[in-house]
Amino acid sequence: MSNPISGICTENLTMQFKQVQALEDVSVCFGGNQIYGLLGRNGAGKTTLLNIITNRMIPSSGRVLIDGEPAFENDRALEKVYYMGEKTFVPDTGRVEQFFNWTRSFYPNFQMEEANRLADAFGLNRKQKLKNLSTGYTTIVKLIAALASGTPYVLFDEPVLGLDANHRELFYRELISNYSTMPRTIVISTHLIEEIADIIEQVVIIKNGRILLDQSAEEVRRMGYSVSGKAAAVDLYCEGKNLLDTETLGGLKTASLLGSPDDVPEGLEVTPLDLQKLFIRLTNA
Amino acid sequence: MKTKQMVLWTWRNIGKVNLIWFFICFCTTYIIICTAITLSSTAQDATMNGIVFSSLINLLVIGIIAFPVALRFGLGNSVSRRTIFKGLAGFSLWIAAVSAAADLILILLFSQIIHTNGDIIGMLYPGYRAEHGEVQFYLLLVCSTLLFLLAFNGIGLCIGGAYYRMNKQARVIVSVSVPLVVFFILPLLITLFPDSFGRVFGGLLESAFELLSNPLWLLLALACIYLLSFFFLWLLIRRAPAERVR
Repeated sequence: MSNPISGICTENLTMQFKQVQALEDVSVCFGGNQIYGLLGRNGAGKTTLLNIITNRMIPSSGRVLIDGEPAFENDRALEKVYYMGEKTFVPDTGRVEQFFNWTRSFYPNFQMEEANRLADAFGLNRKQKLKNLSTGYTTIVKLIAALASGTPYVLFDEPVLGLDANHRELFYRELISNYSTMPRTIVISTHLIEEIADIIEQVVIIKNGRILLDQSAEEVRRMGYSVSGKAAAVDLYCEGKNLLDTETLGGLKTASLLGSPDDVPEGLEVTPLDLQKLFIRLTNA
Repeated sequence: MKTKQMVLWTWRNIGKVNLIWFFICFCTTYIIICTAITLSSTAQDATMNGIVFSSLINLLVIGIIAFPVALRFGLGNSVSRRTIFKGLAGFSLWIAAVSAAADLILILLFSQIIHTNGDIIGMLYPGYRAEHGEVQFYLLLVCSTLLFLLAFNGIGLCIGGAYYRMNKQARVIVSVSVPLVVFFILPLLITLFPDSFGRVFGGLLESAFELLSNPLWLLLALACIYLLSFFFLWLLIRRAPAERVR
């Protein structure tokens, strides 16, 4: 991060729900106009973390800073963050265009032209009532509002929930295009790791309410590698090494390993590590 | 800026109900007047009641609905709980003022046609008008109507907030026990122990009537209820989560 006090930073966040410790001493920073992947298994604490950052939930202890200012009950700091969550907090009695108008009144830099353009791109009828939208289009409305919000920080929690493959691809394209035009800090929390693996620049993995990993995507990929080739050759190479996973197709095999590739025999192809496989290994341990 | 947006949003999404309510009130009252005049021998014999009472219930219900809706919308749009609270206070003042104005206009309009018992001051202090004159009576009427509506809206917001903050078990217990106590247990106890209840409640009612014999004390009591309700509302809102307690 260029400015030491810019970004969203959590300090020793802890969240206790009766007998469940949802977050334990979480200290993490999101900033530097990068795209973060916030990954974790079901119930790991991702949504709880995002809810606390955006003041929707009050932590048991710890604090959140946005550009050096405490986020708690701070309108000026909070309006820098747009959170597209799974749950909708807007009554569904209005129309799509009213939703965009109300969003603009709460986010001063909201780009209405961009929202209208995205609505056309996704085939969304702006005159339609929110309650008549399908699950997918409800998600699309929220996605458009997030992309057009104009805020320096945008948090996505399961952004492609209910979207078909075409819309998912369109979303990722628009996200990259939006990010290129207006660089900002984006946090994507999703279970579809394969889909975002090529987009994210930083990886944060939460496990059982604690930060397990907080590194650049480049560094994470260097944690391991994959070798592919004839099954027998791959098996021979993998002996004594830290094996993550194997996939067999006919007589060919692909193995994912931790560590650096060394003395890889001819005939075996070395490729970067699949992020999802690493995630499964790290969160299964 | 955000407080103003919260007031505007709450008015547009919930306050519209109030306008529909008054339209229904107007139509219903008109029909009732026509019926009353038809059934009675002269227009002077017919009476009409309850405009303000129905508005009180209306604002109580609006308060109950407004708390969770405004809280969730505000928190979902990066608004702090302090600003949401100010927005609810602004909305409460606005809707009470609009309702008070509409009530008084309706009472004034229909009093030209039929005798009305629609205003609370006329019913609580029947001799006030003759004693103190028209100007003071109408000033008291406006203030008391506004304060009654504010108090009821404040109580409604507190009820809505309390229900929002309760978990499921507590909601079930309150929903069952309050009507049970009010409609069954209390009447049963009064029937079984009339003397004891007479002593306790009789004394309380006597004190209340003595205190409220002066209309200014009534206004003060209503203002206190309103302020207390908003103090309680702040306690409910200051750590409220965006999602209802399960």
